[in-house]
Amino acid sequence: MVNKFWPLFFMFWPILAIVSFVIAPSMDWWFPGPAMSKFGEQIDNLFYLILVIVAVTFVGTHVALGYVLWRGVDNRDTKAWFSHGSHNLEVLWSIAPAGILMFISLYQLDVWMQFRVKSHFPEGTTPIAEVTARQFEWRIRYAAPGKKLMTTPQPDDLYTVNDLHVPFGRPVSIRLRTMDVQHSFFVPELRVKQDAVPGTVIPVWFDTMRPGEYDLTCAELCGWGHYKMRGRVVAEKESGFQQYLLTLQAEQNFDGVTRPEHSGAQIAEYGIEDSQ
Amino acid sequence: MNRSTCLILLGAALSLSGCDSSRAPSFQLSEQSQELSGFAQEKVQGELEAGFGTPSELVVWPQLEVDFGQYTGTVGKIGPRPGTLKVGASDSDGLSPASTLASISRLGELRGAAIVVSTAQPGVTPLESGESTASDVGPDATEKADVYRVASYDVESRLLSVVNAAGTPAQLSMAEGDTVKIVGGVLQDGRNLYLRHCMHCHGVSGDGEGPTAQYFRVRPRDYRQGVIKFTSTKATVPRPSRDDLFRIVKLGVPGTYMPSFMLLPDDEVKAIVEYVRWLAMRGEMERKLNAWLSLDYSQAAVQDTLENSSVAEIRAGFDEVWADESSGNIERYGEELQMDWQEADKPESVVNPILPRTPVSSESIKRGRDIFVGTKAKCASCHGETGRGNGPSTEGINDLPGQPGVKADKAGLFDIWGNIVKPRDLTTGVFRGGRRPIDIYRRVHSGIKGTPMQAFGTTLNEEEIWDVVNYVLSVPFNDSSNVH
Repeated sequence: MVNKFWPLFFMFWPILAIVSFVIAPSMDWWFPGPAMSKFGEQIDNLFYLILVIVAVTFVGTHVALGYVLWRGVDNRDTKAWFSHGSHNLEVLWSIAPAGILMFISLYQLDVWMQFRVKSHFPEGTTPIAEVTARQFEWRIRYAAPGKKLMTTPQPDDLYTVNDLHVPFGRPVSIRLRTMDVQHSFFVPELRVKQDAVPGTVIPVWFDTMRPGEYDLTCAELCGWGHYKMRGRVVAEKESGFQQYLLTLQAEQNFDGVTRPEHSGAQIAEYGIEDSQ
Repeated sequence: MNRSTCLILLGAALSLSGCDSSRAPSFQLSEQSQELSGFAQEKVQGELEAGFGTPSELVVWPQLEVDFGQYTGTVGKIGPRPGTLKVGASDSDGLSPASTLASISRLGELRGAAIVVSTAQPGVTPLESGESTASDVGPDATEKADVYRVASYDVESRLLSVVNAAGTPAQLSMAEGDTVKIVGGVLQDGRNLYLRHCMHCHGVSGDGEGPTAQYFRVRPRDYRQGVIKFTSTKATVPRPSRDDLFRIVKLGVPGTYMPSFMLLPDDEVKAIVEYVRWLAMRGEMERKLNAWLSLDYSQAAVQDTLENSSVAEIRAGFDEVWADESSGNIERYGEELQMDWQEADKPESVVNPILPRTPVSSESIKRGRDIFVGTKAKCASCHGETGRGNGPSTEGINDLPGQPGVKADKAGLFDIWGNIVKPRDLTTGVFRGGRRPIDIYRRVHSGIKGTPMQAFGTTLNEEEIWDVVNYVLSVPFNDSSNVH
């Protein structure tokens, strides 16, 4: 039995790895919930495809390793066969992974193009807001209701912070900028992650399948206050989104006389009293 | 064991031991207090501890204009274990919130808050202010009140367990029907949230010297003068309103390192606001004590006096002065604090124009521009002809703010915290105090407190201010050629 220690030792870890993968979804060690966007489902599909390829390779190699170790313990008489320098084997294990990688790279090209290349964005993707990351918050600029988002600020633009509202059910895009260092716009439930790079404006599109609130975090260690960059994406009905913009507009044009209609979504003029 | 195993074990040991968390946060004496001679310093420190406590043992000074968070109830059955009691007689009769910020949902988290049991129910007499110590909690605590700390409170079973100062279950000397009050929950929440979210810049004592503050060009606010720059209150009202602080925490200060805490729940932000106000009051109290004592008992003053008298004589003189004047002075300081902060929250303290904003038009913008560069308000002397914040005053020797006739020792514009401030570059379109027309109106009307930005509410009438607002809001979109 002592002889079998090393085969068992080496088999224990892959089995532990597989068990943890199998129980992961039920233990909530998996994705942050199902993808909340159609595009996110495609990302998940790619993830699962790669997971399957890796799992098959992983299980295959470890079964082989286990077999060889297990057999080798009892088989002290036969001399080992050294494969080093075998031309055929070298060719085989070069071409097989290359083929798999080539397959993955070609297979994911559509999704990649769709996400990254502006001309391949889904039809009808509308720029909805400019999101400017800065240490340590997300500053957001919308066009006035009914207007187009311009590349430069306009007098009637609407501003908010850390709270990105979007209409659900259709693809929308944001203009992602950063005011200082590199940040990363990451909405885990929508499977969207894009670095914000100083000096460039990066269009990022996403869709949301259901109304709801999704966490927005910064995924690039951007300084000591990185953890403070918590925001949210609120997906709501088209009418609700328009109403939100109108509320924002009323709030932003408040002159102390014509009082904007109260809305829980915004900070009222007398926040302390009103929200009691 | 080989070397790599050693390294791995060492790494594991380091990561397990972590950072040194043994240092409990503590309030620091201000620089002015440190210039007092030792015996005066001791008294100041003692007085601050009596009125405000330490970060881990907060003291509720009822006179202060702070919502400490209060719950009331009656004592039901005592027991079953030592130091426990049931609140009220029936399920509908538990603790109930007695202040605006105290809420039912917080009841379960009251750990550590002070509990006061008044045995004499009718005819409670308010405490003399100035006699306030750790045991005087609650606005109408009686002299017979017993003070404990809450160990836990279960909302369902209404079971309250209390401990004494040493942390052991308290011997309860109360009877059924006594009034029980729990005070300080909101302040504690505020403290916990402040230490987590704010302390690393604003410092434990609210001095703006937290560990991350050193990275900033724009200094975090030092609350200890009770002055906040961007307020909705009139120029004559020295303090910010709760609403002002609430907005600043929620929205951040654009263009500075103060980030937005938009997603913190409202009640958490309100607890932070109460704690910040309380810290500011603590700082003001310290300043007031300093202002009183520093003339005669600063280290320098004592050195001077030593030429004519001995240490013992000075000390005896101080003790006499302290015995004679301290309680009266502290009472007065408390009243001043109460008045100043109460005033800030009065509706009539808020700047609200009567006229609505003048509709934006090129005429209004032109009029605003004329005022901006004209001699009446002289905006351009600081903000520059084109609003870039580069007016001639930025290069000159100016009076220190709030001290007319006292010149700064170097060129530039100074705020009351001793920093050089730049007049806002209006072309960037970033407005620290908010971008709503009413925000800009209030900036022009009552100025920016603690800075050379003056109040123009008396110089300009409402129409003129609205024209300036329209002009200021148009600056980011105009090259100066459009205006002329």
